[in-house]
Amino acid sequence: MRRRSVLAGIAGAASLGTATSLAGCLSSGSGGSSGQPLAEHPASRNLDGQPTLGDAPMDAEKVIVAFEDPTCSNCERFHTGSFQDVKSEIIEPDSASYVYRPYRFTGRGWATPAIHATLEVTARDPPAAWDLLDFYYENTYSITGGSFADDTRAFLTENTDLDADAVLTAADDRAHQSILETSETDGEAAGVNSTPTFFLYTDGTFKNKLVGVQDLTAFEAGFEV
Amino acid sequence: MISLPTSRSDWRLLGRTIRLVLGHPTYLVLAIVVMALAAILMSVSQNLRFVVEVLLSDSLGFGFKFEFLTSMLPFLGPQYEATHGILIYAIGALTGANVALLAYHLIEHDLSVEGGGGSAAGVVLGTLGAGCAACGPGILAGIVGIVGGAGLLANLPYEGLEFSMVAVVVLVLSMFWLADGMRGGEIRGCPVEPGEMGLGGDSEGNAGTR
Repeated sequence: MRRRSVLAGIAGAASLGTATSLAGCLSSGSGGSSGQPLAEHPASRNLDGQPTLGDAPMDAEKVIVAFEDPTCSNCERFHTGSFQDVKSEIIEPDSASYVYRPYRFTGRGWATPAIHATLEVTARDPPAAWDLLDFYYENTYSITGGSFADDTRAFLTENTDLDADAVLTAADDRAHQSILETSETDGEAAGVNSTPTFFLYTDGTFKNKLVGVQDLTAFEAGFEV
Repeated sequence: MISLPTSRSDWRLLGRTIRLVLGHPTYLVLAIVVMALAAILMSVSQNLRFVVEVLLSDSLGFGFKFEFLTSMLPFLGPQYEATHGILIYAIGALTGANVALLAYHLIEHDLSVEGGGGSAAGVVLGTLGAGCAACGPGILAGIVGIVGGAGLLANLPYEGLEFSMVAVVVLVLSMFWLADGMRGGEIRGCPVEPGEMGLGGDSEGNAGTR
């Protein structure tokens, strides 16, 4: 009897410590109220001008809004890994939309020009923006602040019909600063603390927030519960 | 006076104590259960509310829930890179061993405060250590919550892994203090510290002064 009560006490103490430590996870950063309309939710109220896959967000049954940094290692692992499954299993077959919202997290020097270049390409040739993002994530560890312009120019020249110099000029001029700042403000309002962070919506209303590199199962669950 | 494991004999004491305690099936099972719970809790800490909702959902089957939960674990899902994954399992294992040591000390040595100040201090520190399973992510969540902190973790040399490393150190120290509290006693009939019986401990398992 004594053994049982002591074991229970220890389990309780350990659980208390763990629960206390984890309390913040339960009580903060929920990402807004479940059921909040897409057009009003902080993560999804300003989606214009950002790379989008699939249907238009307002028309899609399922929407994923992703806050990502083109220089972040976790985003690189997601983008080169389970993102491909999400694309082929959710975005392409279903009435679904995936929106990439820029959010500088790492503080690496080429994050800002890379985001502006991506947004400029989005304005000129939307599908090419995803090719450029693929290029950045496949070369996250080799691109530097010094090599960014040459690497981007070489990629755009070889793989697109876009005017690479015009895109780089837009990046230098920070031509899409308002979109970037709005995205980061919205991310903070929605409780983004790291990248990647995903907000899932079904039928125009917010369902769930997912943090970190997740696989297809987590996204499927996120649309179910 | 709090002692630190500075000598080789201190580490041998710690290793022997863990080995003897985990040699008892009940405490081995306790350690494994606590290890699994701690590792799962740490792995899902960033998405705890969501994971609870999924696991409690009526619309999802057991198979899907199992697949979903395993996809959240290091090396079974994509969420953690290798270094972080190893640290999560290491903290889980240390937490399991810590709780087992604490349970053994409380139960088998029939510990009371009168039984020895050193032992009682070990229990207190051991409990703190056991509760520290989620120190890393917990402190992390707290700091991020206070500072508002996107960018803060990214600016740390190891992007927040530092906190998990602190948890490892705290857990090892906690287990050493527990073992130190058992110094001079016996575990399953074996002396905790062979060859040094009588250096201050007594046959009741109460610690002596060092």
